[in-house]
Formats: sequence, structure tokens, C-alpha cells
Amino acid sequence: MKAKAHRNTTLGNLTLFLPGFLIFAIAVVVPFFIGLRVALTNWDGISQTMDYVGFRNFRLIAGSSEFRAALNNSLYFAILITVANNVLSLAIALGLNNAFKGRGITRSAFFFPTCLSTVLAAFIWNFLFRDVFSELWGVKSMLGNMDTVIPGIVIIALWNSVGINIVIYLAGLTSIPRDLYEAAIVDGAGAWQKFRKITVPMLMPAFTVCVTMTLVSGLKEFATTMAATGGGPGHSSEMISINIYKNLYSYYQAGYGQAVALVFVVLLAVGGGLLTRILRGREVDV
Amino acid sequence: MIKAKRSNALVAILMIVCGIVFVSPLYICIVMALKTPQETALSVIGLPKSLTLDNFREAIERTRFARSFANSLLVTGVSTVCIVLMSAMCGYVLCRNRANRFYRAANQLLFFGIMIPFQVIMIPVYRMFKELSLLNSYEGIILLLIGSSIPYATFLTTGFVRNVPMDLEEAAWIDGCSVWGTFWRVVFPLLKPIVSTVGILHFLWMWNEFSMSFIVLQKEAMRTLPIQQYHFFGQFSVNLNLGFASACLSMIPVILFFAFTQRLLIQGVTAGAVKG
Repeated sequence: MKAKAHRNTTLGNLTLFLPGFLIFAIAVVVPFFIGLRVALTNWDGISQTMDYVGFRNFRLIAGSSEFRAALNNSLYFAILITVANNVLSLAIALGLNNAFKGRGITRSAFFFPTCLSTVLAAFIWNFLFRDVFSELWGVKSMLGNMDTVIPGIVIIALWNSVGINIVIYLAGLTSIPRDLYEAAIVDGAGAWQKFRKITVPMLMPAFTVCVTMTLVSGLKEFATTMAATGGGPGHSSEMISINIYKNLYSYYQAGYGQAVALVFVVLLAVGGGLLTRILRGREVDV
Repeated sequence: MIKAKRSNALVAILMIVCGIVFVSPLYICIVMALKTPQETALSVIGLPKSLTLDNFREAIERTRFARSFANSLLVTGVSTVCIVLMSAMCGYVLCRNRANRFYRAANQLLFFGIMIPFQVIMIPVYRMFKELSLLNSYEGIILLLIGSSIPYATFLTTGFVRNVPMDLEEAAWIDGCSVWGTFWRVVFPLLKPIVSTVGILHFLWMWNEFSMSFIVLQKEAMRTLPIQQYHFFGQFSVNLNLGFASACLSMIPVILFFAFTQRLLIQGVTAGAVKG
């Protein structure tokens, strides 16, 4: 550090730092503040002008059954995918944690669908649900039924994303020191006890990351649903993000849509923060 | 011990079966891409009777595949390169100037940027881009993709720079290197592991990006592959065999990418999650 003292580094540092930071500011920070203003107007998404309406949009949200339905759909989707994704990825990671022939390629098989775009996943599964499963087992598409559409989208999203949690859990499992298990065997612990007393507590950090990430991305869900159903049938799979989008493009009430977005981000921050705090408290230090 | 061995074999078989189930949709994609509509009407899972690549030829024409492929390549390439270079620059400065109040505040702002979901800036971005005529432009989508990726990419680099020793930088300084010279000649080569992680992850993410491109790129000539496919798949008159031909074509680059970078990709996902 002393070497730096006799020359001025301010300009050099600033010119290294600013390109990225300015683009971030223009693309994210400025729109965020524009958004705070838009939420207080009746902008329709098309015209140049917009009128200030105070907090009317937020009062409308408070009384809107559509908003509550979208919020319910988002919560239902997020909770369902968080549970399904973590149970499935943990089970597969435990299975892949054993040495067997073809383990590498099996892991690749689970991870590969994660690399495909959501549009592709939705297209493939729409066809599987509608045509293939009906030919194989004579069942109707889950996506065409109001009661099963959200679980159907969960299946698509699982196929398209479970690989991420699998590799995170797998990394967690391989980092558990072997001598812990050996000591447990010496002490006469069974398979279940080893899992319960060593694997579970040692895996808590990975668990925190995976649960929080799945839940937050589940609440933000947009692309898979948009590509698979567009929010239908009816409004049965219209989640908050889709609702925001539709307020801009279909309902021509962008001001109101932006207010929904702001309410949503506050709920997201509070929920995510709370969950992390609860889960972090359960982690053990080694 | 024999019991343990048998249960291990059972788990292995179960895993391999599950793995096959997981990739089996790809079988459907391939056979559908090779079949004619008449063959599809007979059975959607059966094999085609003869091999023909007509579907691929027609899909390339009807979906303007070359154009959207080129768009995807341009948008993904430029934004990934910019994200990698700029986040390395940002991360280095942030990490080495932690005592500075300005950079501490900027770091906070970037951290806030990681938390912001796109939906919150979707409507204002649309409004801003409309006023600046950035809708349906490469500049617009690239700007948005870089800006929204910088926070997380910078966060990853900052964590890495912390473990890079400062001795080399100081030596370069004494020899009269400027800040830029020190960064590019000494520091950047040392950042290779994190740069490749950030690059691989973002190349894949940008290639598959949907939400932002969906808002910004609406004109057909400007659409990237996922957006063009979204519109093509959504048409009621869509010929499913053509759809799958287009799906298979767009999977080829992803399969190649996956084959070559799998190890780094998996490492990157894990590293990102552990730090995030």
C-alpha cells in the first residue's frame, strides 16, 4: 500500500470501476426510481402522458380479489416447487453420492435439462402432457385443467431446474468428512442414525441456500408459466409476475401494474429475509 | 456387508433408471423432428419410417432460424464479454478500496441490485426504452442484460479478489505501472478461474434469457431464439413436427456447450450458490 501512496490512483480506479457501474445504474437503478413515480400515476402503457393519482393504485390493490388470487397462485407455486425440488434433489444427490459405474453420466442426465431454455422446456412438456401421456396412459393434460395446471407447471420447472440443487447438495455431501461416519459406525450407529445425526446437520448450509433460492425464484416465476400457459386456463395460473406483465400489455394499466410490482418486492424481501434468518439459526458450526 | 452391497447396487440401478426417465423427453423431440404429420397422427412416440431432413429445412425457413440464431449469438456474445470484463474491473476496485466511502456505498447499491427482481423494473424499463427508442434494438437489450447481470457477477469477483495476494500488484506499482496497467497485466491473468466461471454461467444464462428479451425484442427481425420460438410455438396452426425440428436445432449449440464446459459449469453453479 505504501508504494501507492506517492501516486494518485483515484482516476485509474474510477475509470476501471465506472463502465460496469454506470450501465448497472442506467439499466436498474434509474428504472427503479422511475418505477416509484409510475406507481403513483394512471399511466396506460401507451400514451406519452400520465397523471399523478396519489396512492389510489395501492388502495385498489388492497381491495383487489385479482391481486389476491395472483398472490395465492404465486405462493402455491413457490411452496409446491420448493418442497418438490428439495425433496427430489436431495434424494437424487444422496443416490449419486454412492460410487457406481455410470455415475458421471447419470449426473449429467439430471443436469442437462437445466441448460435448456424455459421456452423449450415448456414446449416439450406441453406436448408430453397433451399428446404423449394421453397416448401412453389415456390421461388428459394437466395444463388444461384449472385445478392441476399449477402442479403441471411445477413438473416442467422441476425438470428444467432441479439439476442446480442436485449439484449443490452433492457438493455439500462430498464435503462431509468421512471420519465422522467412521466414528459413528464404531459407535454402533445405523444408517438412519448416521443420516439423521451427521448428514442432515452437516448439510444445513446447502439446505439454506437451496430452499431460499428455490422459494425466491418460485415467487418470481414468470418464464415457464408464460411459455406453458400464459396464465390460463382462465386466470388459474396467473401469478404475480404474469399479472404485472398483463397490466402493462393486456389491461393497459401500467401504473397499477407497477404498484403491484412494488408491493410484491416488499413482500419478497420480508419473506426471503425471514426465511433466511430462520434457516441460518438452525445451521451448526464445525 | 453383502446386504450393503446389494442395496448399493439397487440405488445405482434406481439412479440410472431415473436418469433415463429424465432425458427421455429428448427422445420424443428427436423422433418428432424426423416424422411427417401423417406418421405423428398414427403414434407420437413411434419411430419414423424413413429418415428425412425436410422438417429441418422447412423449420429453418419458417422460423427464420438463421436470423434469430445470429441475433442470439450477437446479443449473448457481446453481453457476456462485457459482463466478464466489467465485473472483473468493478470487483477488483471494490475489493481493493474497501476503506473508501464512495466504493462502500456503491457496493451496497450493487448488493441491493442482486435482490431486485426484474418484474419490478419491467414496466419502467419499457417506458424508458420507449422514450429513448431502445425497444427492438441490440443496444437496448445488451444494455439491460449487462446492467442486470453486473451486480451478481461483481459479487462473485469481489469474493475471489479477496484471496489474491497483493505482493505482485505492489511490485508492478514500484516498477511504475499505472492502475490500468497493473490490473490488465498482473491482476486480470490471476482472475482466470473466476472469469471463466462468470463467463460460462452468463453465456448460458444470456443464451436462454427470456423475461427481458420478451419485453424489449418484439419485432421478428430482432428476436433472439427463445423469443422467436415462443412466438412460433404459440401459433395455433403450428406444425408440431416443425416445432420439434426447430427445438432440436436450437438444442445443438447447448449440447455442444454442455459437453465442453460441463465440469466448469457445475463448479460454477456450486461456487455461486455457496457464496450467494
